[in-house]
Amino acid sequence: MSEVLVDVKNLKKYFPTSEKDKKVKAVDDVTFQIYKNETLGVVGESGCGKSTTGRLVLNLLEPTDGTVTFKGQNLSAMKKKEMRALRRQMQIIFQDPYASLDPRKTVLQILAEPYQIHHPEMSREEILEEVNRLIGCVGLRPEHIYRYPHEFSGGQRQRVGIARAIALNPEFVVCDEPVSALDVSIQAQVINLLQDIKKEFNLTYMFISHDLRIIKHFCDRVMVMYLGNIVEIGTKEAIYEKRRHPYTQALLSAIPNIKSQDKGERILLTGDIPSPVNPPSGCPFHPRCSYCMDICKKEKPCLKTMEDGTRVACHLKLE
Amino acid sequence: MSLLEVKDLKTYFYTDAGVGKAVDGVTFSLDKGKVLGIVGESGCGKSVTSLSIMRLVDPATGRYEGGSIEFNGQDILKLPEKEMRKLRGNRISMIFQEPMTSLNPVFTIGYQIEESLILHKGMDKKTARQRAVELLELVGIPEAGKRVEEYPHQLSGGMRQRVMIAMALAGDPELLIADEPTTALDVTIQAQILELLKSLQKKLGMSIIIITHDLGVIAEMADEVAVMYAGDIVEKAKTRELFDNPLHPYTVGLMNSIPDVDDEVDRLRTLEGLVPSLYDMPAGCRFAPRCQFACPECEKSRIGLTQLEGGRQVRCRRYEQ
Repeated sequence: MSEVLVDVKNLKKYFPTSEKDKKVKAVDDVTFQIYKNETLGVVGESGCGKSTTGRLVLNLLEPTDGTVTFKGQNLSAMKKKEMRALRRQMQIIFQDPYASLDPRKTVLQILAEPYQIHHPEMSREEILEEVNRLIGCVGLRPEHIYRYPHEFSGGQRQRVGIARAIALNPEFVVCDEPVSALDVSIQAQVINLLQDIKKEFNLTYMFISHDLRIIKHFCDRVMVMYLGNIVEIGTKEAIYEKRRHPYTQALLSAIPNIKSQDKGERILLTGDIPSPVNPPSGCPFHPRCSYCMDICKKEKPCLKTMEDGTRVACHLKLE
Repeated sequence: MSLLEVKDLKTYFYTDAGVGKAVDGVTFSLDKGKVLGIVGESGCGKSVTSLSIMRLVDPATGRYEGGSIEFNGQDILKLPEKEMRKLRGNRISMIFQEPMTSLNPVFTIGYQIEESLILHKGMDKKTARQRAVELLELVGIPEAGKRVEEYPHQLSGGMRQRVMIAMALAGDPELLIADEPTTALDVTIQAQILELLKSLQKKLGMSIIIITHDLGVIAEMADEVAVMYAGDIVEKAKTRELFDNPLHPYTVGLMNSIPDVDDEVDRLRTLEGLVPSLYDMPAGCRFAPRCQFACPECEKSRIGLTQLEGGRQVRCRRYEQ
């Protein structure tokens, strides 16, 4: 496999609650790597910690414990100034293009900002030229740069968000549910754009989504999260075909199938996702798992490596 | 026999920006005990269609400019508001996308279910409470006797949607309109709620209109599908037929936009361009500006629905004889 770009070790993030001794365990000890030029998909339901993980990886949140290493540099040990310089290389695209663009700035102002901050030596003309180049890359027209965010449709706005993220030629981009707020026909346009940009700029993506169909289409490797833990991580083929972890099985069988009559056995999970303030003992998935054994209630399973390199956290004997 | 007959329904909105023709000549019917899916993207008029059936379109801006909605043979657009109130929430009821905003946060869920029982069914408080607990059990809420005292914020998203369904069932409706009932929910919870709606539909024999942007939800639930685009129904067919052989270029485009889990492609085929503005609709076929088959003919005048074999309908010049 190619070189490791992001190395995450025993990462934890606990948020305080109004009660002193209770903490929201949003991310609870996750270890994984992101390789150069791949797309790692992160999938899971609300509250599984996928967005928090994305923000921790970019050091937008400070971890409670554990480390994130980007190109060999430990992010939490860095000084503010060094971190700022490094931020050029790591960017984020947010879910809601309505909330993540300043409504009082024109597209030109929004896209000029990264250059003004990181390249103060650039002249206005040079910046304008760059912004025009960017806007072309994401499929908008030159006259669009004088418009305000509210003058765009959702899909166009997300294009502006993408342009902002790639402005400084980053190496690594976290896409946090980039198409969830968009209509399906527009989703496909944005997904294709993200694919083109990845090729053009040699990007590495961490792609966070709850949509298993999009993850399958877009990613090379997939990490499935549940209640702040990784339950399974491996190549897309291994995750979607082998379906080793009972939660992965349930998640995949819950996708409504539109193209074939045969719906297969649907695995219906009972109950809700437990609260991360008070996670179950042992395996976090055991209260909803149909294979639950005694050991699952007592002991939290570690990630075990399978023959094909997939890592699965389950007490069942899996191959 | 059909329970609901919507004929040439036109619901327009009058705003400062002009006249928005949100629903512009929609016709469909729904038989007793059947599930009709209405699918389309934002702004296609699917929610306004459902609000029109409930007669909940805001009278300050919206008006019914034509057509009829016959429920059991009675045109509900002509009913006085007093009569409409007897139908609404009783024989026709509705569940919405966001259960947290449709439940009242300051009353217990029991109170909110009982309210309609007392109002529509004339029950006293005690019987209403009993029935509320039964309804909560019916929608699969564990420990219903205890939960009936809880407030909406104490419940998870999936549980809240179950409460909304219990409320909608309180009047023993003949028609249930579900407007994006699972859009705000996680996939595993979505699967639970769809399963619940299916089993309730069988058990109670009601008709359902399910409104969604998700073709997957349609495939799971609906007997028949109407695809809407820019205020029009562009295609109507039995669910299986639609998925096996979509005819309208918009339906085809919509289906191609969704990555298939079993069949991988390198690149998604997309529908280029945007949905036209409600205030500035193309004169001819509304899909023509985005259609790969569009020709000058298409842009001249509006296209009618062509009737095909087996009750299938499509609004496209290519299928006109």
